[in-house]
Amino acid sequence: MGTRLDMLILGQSPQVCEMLFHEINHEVERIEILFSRFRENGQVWEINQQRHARWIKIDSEELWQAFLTCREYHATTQGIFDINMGEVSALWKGEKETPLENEVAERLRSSGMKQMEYDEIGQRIRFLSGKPGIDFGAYGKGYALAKVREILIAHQVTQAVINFGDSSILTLGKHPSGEYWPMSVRNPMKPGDILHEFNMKNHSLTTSSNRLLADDGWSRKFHHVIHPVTGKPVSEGKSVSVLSKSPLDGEVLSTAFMLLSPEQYAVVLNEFEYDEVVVVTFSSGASIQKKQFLCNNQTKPNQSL
Amino acid sequence: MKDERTRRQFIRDVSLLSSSAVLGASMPWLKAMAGETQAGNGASDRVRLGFVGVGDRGRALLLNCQQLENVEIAAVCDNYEPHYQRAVELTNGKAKAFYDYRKMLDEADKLDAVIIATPLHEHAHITIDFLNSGIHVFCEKSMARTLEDSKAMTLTANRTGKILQIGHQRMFNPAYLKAYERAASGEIGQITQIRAYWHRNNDWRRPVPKGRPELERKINWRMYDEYSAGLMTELASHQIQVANWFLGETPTRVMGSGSICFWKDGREVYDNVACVYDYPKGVKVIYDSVISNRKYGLEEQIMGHLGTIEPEVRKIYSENPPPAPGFLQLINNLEKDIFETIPIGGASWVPETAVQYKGEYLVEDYQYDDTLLEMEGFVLAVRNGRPYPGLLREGYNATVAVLLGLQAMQENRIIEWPEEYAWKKNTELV
Repeated sequence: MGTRLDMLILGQSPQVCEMLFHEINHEVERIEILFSRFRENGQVWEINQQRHARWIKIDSEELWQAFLTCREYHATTQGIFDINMGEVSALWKGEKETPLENEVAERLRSSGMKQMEYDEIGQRIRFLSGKPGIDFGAYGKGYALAKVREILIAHQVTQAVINFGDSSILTLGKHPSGEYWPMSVRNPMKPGDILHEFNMKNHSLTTSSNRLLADDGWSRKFHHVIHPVTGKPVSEGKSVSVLSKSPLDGEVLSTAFMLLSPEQYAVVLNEFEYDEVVVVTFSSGASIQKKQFLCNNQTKPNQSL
Repeated sequence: MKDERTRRQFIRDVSLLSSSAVLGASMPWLKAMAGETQAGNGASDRVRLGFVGVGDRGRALLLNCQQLENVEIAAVCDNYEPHYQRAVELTNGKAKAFYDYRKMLDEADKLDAVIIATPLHEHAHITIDFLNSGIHVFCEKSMARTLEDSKAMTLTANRTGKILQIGHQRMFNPAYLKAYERAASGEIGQITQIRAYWHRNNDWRRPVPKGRPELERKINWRMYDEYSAGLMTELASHQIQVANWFLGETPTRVMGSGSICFWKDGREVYDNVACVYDYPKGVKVIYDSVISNRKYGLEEQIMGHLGTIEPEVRKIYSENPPPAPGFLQLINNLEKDIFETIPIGGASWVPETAVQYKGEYLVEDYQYDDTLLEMEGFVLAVRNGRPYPGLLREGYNATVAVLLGLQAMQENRIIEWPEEYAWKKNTELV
């Protein structure tokens, strides 16, 4: 998935681990090909080349299910999770240049899932206007992690840590010397500091942020999540981490929470199965401005830090 | 200025590299150069050079030598008038100019060494004449047009004790030296295959003056079988030398196929070649060269079971990139039965961009002019009066290998390395 994939599998022979490594790698690559919008002649790339108004048949059952599921996520996140924002986010690619207001407004008019129509009987979609900009980014990653978990469970693996480039971590079972896998999320503005500690037990932990810690140790702004109403990225530094049983829910939630207003938090969380959500905003001076900790009422009472 | 910087940097790097046990043992010229770099500025250490052949390559070598300290270009020679005139101009008329190298041999005063950059088929007799006259020789690659000539040059050098250095400059390039060190240390594991290629997109011709068609074969000597083995001696030679050097072996046999595929303009040499060289223990070197597409340029992909080196782009890649530091800490803790929080999570993932493991650089990013560096090496050897051990063998074996490759293509059969042309490490060529 365009990222490093680390695997730690316990309690299995080296041969089984090697076999699992190849099987997981293969599956992740397959999913990447399925959902990639960059792979020329891939299905998503083909969709993005189509003209609006034409019905597009989705042959792959897996891809069709993805479209249906994303439509549900769009609804349960108050319209914030949106897979048809690729054309607007392309305007925000440059780190220094801000696109023109009217340019953003024009693309925004013909972007978003509001422009998508589904034909469930014919397994078709169409775009009412503009150029399609389908981007399964967060969904693809969550889906891949869910599939990896299926493979591990199918091979009776009970203790494992799977790490997708640090931003998505999947655990099975617990640390051999404890009751859970103790993991923390680093502060992207201050290497060495941590934002929050999580106790992972059959959980996935996913983090979205518009400040990335690059390999060179420097923090960078990153405009990958665009608000489907304003067409703009979040300007303040923000980091969202979600601990959940479902990697897919976690990915969608962490992406949506980058854009949701605090007033929307409770309504959206009500629609999801999750364990903990940590939202951190940074001041311009790179210090932590606010940290909100939201956890599932069934495990712990809501609290704000 | 740029060249002066590279030169100084090179000398610094050579000093560092020469302290490496691996490089010191495998490439004695490095140690010798590191020891000699500070010496040689006295008047008695002045090196007087002659140039035979001042075409494109000869001109480049001359310009490089003009940048070296305490070197005098005392004589130049070319039998093609425009090149002769150019040589005179480049040396401001200070070098004695000749049309015939034999006259230069007789009349030039006390030359210490000559640089030969003539068409390939003329390398052998000119080299041998100078060596027999007690003059050290730097001869451009490849050594000669035939196996017999290559061997005769080598035997003459060995007999006279004079320096004969062949122009395979990659052995003086710090990126290659560093690559060699890391390969020899086992970092890329057992090398089983090297894929090498050199692709260009041009007709490889030089312009012939209007109304002078009789000059075609003289100017475009690379096109004709009598004078050149085409892509094999002009391009492959460098890369097969790298393969031999990294593998520490010479091929046992070669199979190949060549064609004139695109430039059907009366040339006799192939414009499209492909060879497979077998080395001991099943190792293979796969080589190809075309001059009708340049997308892939040139590279030697040195592949081991633990990693790959691409020296042209100065890169080394591991088959198993190291895990993220947090993940590494997790593994370390598990091994030591430590239960503590691992700082692992963070938004370092860039959604769906073409992020790939890009390997790491072997040396920092500055342009080594390895031709300048090899000339530096040659002049230092001349000043010291002794050949660098092992260096000539590299040039000889690369030449034999490419000539055998051409033979395999021309005769359409597998060619074994002939015993009479074998020159292995720690042995003499007889």
